[in-house]
Amino acid sequence: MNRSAESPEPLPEPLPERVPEPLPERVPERVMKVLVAGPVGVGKTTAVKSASDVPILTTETTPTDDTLLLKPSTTVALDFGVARLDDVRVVHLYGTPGQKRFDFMWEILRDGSAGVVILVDASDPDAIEGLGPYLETYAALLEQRRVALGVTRLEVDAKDGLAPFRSHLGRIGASVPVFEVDPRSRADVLVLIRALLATTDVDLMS
Amino acid sequence: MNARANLTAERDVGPLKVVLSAMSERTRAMLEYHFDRDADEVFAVAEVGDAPDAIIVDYDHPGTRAAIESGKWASGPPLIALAHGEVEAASAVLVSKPIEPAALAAAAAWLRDPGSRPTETREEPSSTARAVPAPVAEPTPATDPVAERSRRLPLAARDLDDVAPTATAASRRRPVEPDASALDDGSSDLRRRARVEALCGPARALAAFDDPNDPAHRHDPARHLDGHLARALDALQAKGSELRGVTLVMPDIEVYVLPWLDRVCTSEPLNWSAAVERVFREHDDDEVDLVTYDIRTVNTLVGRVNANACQSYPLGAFRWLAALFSARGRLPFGVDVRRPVQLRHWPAFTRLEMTPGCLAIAAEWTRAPRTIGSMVEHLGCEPRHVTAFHAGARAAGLLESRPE
Repeated sequence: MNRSAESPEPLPEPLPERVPEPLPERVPERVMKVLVAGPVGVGKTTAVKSASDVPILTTETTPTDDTLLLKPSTTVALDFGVARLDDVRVVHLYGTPGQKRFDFMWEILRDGSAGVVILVDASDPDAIEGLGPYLETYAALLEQRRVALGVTRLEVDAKDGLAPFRSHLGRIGASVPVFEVDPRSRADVLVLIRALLATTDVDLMS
Repeated sequence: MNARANLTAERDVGPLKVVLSAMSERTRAMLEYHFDRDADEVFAVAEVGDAPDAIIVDYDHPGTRAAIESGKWASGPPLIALAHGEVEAASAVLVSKPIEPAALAAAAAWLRDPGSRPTETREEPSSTARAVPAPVAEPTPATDPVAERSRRLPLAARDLDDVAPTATAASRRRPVEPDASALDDGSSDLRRRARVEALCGPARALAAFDDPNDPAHRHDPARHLDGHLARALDALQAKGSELRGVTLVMPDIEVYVLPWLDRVCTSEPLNWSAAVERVFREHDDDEVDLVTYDIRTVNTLVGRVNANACQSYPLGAFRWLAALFSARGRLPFGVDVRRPVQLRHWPAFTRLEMTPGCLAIAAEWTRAPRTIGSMVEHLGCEPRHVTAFHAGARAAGLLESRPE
């Protein structure tokens, strides 16, 4: 058998090179850090809990001072929750402790934050004076309009509504959102956060 | 306390002037109403500039207890604290709840003359507070507590009882929550589009607003419900404390304005587009009756609210909603789209109907003055979203003209 006389079998045609289908374009998530600050007992932990899509991390413990007269537990370091606003925006919520003696945490948590939601209790006769330390600590954020004020317990004492808080912020030249908020309402807390971020966004566009 | 309670002889004549502090709006309204009705008897609310004879506070109101203990009112006039049960409150005359006129009268008598302390005063040995309950009627075999209470209360007390549920009926009626479907991603697209169209009208080009008198894209707010409501509120403001409430009687609806409760109640639900179109269409002046109520007739208004009202809104939320439903994305006649405007402050969006892009529009309009056109271009949003926001903000009195 003369093998050389036979024509070789044609090689099979090479398979066309497989081009992988492009993956759907994925918009990267935009994660933002937002603080929830305010005096003791104003509803910060409740607000973080209401807005968060996941069980929140808390550092609550039994108070050892006058705070015990107000509530059985208080935040001593931070609360942490995660709220997804839409397909792109995710907010990491950090609740600060309310007690002045933990104010070092206010400054530690401030770093890298997109803004701060300050809650204030309308039924507290000294509510406006009580805002002072927070406006001072977050003065740099306030200057950039990265502050939103949530007024709680207006249903308890709605005599003057939001007006005194607006005028107080107006006097220091801050045109920031001032909303009535029920910290137990997820919708209320999220509207406040969205307003805060809307302010940040339009300022960046300008 | 005795020294503070020693009121001068001239104060013994006529009602004691009191300041109402640290209490809910409901309690305040109830007391003011009662004092107004019994103006010549025990207490009257002090006017601005009057030196009050006493301060009445709600001991159960958050913060009151701490304020009393911190001595907030220690240097002022005597303190009357309204409280549930037996409590301790230094330097305050306690009036037990439920508040009865007789107990208030007893507190007044005690303030006028500390020596006339009622023998029924409940006081814990450890407490420095004086509790002033209503004088106890002679024992009767009656066992029905309601009948018993009704029997021994004087007329004024029954009137006070009438007022409490009256105020409660409107104030406890849960206000209609803003419908979030115009924004909520969870709504079906159809529902969302329908809601946006109800609030913002059909899509319009910016050029449609060039003619300030084009009836297709302009409207006269004064002929819609929000205009009639604005007139009603102006009437209330002009008459000061004489007028207590207003009813707008329109062909399809009655709108009850209760400023002392910061509420508006409607006799028809506004959940359906057909109802919205009927109620918020243009109405001539002769189609709308404005019925006003003063202190003597306000109970008639309250009776109508209790009988007819089916929905309740905070006053500001209703004005905002009425403006949006009336305008449906149109601008008022004569408004120049080239004139820059700015917001005085943010609308309180947690209690208002939100429209697409409203937060960004509010953020930009509080930051700097802008025309409607430049706002549309800057944010890249639909013109009707900006004009709808404009309608709400205009009704709320938030817009002011500014140079750009």
